Amino acid sequence: MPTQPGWSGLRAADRASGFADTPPCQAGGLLDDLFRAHAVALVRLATLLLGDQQSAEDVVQDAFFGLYRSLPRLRDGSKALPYLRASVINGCRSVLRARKRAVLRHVQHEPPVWSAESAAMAGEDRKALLAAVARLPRRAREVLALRYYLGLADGEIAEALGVTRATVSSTASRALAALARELKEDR
Amino acid sequence: MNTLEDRLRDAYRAAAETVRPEALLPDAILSPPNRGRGRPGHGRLAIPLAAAAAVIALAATGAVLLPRAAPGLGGRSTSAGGRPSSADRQPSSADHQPSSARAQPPPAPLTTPGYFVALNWMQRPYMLVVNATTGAQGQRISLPFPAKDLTSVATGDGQTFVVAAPEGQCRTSLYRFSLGVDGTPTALTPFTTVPGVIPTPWDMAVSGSGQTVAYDALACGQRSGPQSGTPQQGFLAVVNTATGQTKRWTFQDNTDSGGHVSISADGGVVGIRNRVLDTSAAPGSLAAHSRVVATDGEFGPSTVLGGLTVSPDGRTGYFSTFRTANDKPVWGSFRLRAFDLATGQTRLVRSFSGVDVHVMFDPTGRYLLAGSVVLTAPTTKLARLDIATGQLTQLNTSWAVNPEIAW
Repeated sequence: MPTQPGWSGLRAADRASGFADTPPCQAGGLLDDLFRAHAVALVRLATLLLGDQQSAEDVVQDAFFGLYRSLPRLRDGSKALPYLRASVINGCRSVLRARKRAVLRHVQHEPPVWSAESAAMAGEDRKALLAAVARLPRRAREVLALRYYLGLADGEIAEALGVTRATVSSTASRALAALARELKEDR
Repeated sequence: MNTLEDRLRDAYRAAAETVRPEALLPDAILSPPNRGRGRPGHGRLAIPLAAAAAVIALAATGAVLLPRAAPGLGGRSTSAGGRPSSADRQPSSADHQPSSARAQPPPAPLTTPGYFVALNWMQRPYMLVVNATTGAQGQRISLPFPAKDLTSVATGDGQTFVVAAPEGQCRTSLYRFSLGVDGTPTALTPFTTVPGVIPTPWDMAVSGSGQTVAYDALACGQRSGPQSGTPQQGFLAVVNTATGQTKRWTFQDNTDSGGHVSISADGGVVGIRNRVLDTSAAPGSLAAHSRVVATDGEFGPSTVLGGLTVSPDGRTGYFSTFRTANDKPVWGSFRLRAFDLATGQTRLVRSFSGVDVHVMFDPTGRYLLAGSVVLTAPTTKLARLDIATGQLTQLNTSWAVNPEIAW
């Protein structure tokens, strides 16, 4: 007899070997406020980096979950939002890494919001511009999204990405130059 | 400000606005903060969204993992498919206290059936009655056949239950029993046989009237195992037990094609695996006559679908997804999602700790039971989700071993 009738059929051993425990901890109004104020923007940021909303929602969920678990160790509440931003960036990187592997297995994804197949966004110019952004290196894409979508200062971007301010500045300059070259126009 | 930077801002804004706040976090945008949250029975509360706060609330219950009494429940009965709101998405401080120190209100009675039946899948499977408010274990149900033959249990109204057991290799016997208001079961009595044999872990579901039974089975005369000379042909059957009229939709594949089956209260919609079927469709191929709700990989790389359950009103299909890494489920990646059969839109309902979660509705469609397996608990966790309010209540499930639930 199969061991898991009524369920999706995973063996108990498989289940067990895939899990890690989560410590109980406390959460407060901070999460409430952060969620209310920033969840949509974070999902949008992740969507810009990943191209699809479903994956973006998952990444943001995981980021809030990570913050929840870290709250007992978080002495300074002002660090919570930078923590969330960094978590979302890292989560997006993980998804993108996994996608590379998935492509090898021919897993299909929804077209990104900026693609020609996507009807979600009007305007050929915007699509072309974001398609060009999508061809930039990962860090350049992150810097541009944080700077021109979230409107963060270079210092905040540096904190989110775990790099220096100078790196942010030079990365942004190179990214804009590359975009201008690709789009064959002056900045 | 230079042109390229302006264009970047404009393009980012346009792309970001494809994520609609009202679809993503409806209450977050539409309702003001409500600091008086968290009291049971107050309906829709402050914190919105299916996503993160849900993860947080569930993480709290999942991490504590201590049986506790259910809080009071709202008495209004609603149809399924409502948007979960907030009550337990924002964990109150009480949620994080040790359960022994927590003041627990006495469980309020449910307006939906107060008891459900669980079929525990052990070496010798057995059925027992369970208090739907607290999860307390009740009476075991005696069987008129060997326990090893126990195949499936289902109900459409929460009072009359149908039990399946094979009769030879060609047919399945269906038995009935009822639960009294105090959860006392009557004896099982045979009432009909249906074609095919339901192999474990395939499934059966019953409409609200109890007249229509849907199940997936193997055709008569086909043996399982390597000695079988021909591939087994599975099928989904919908039987009117009053008239004996049966319709079949065959699987394209062989034995791998079975799975969890659910049916709407009026018997008009059946959910099986990742498909929904209008039962007025002509018999034939299941693939040709049914509609795919979701597919593996649709919700991100390495995302796997769990079983689909159709709500009693037949308007929504609830299904689970979870991620895998190295072919193993990733802790905390379980998501419950709802597919609107009318619009074709899928929304995230909430997240659960653990993986391999299975859901089952009560007959009113207001509540669903979500079972999940986590490493930290030897038994299956069961949580009752109020679809109308989003309130989630953990049940005491020290008895639960991969249970199949009929509520």
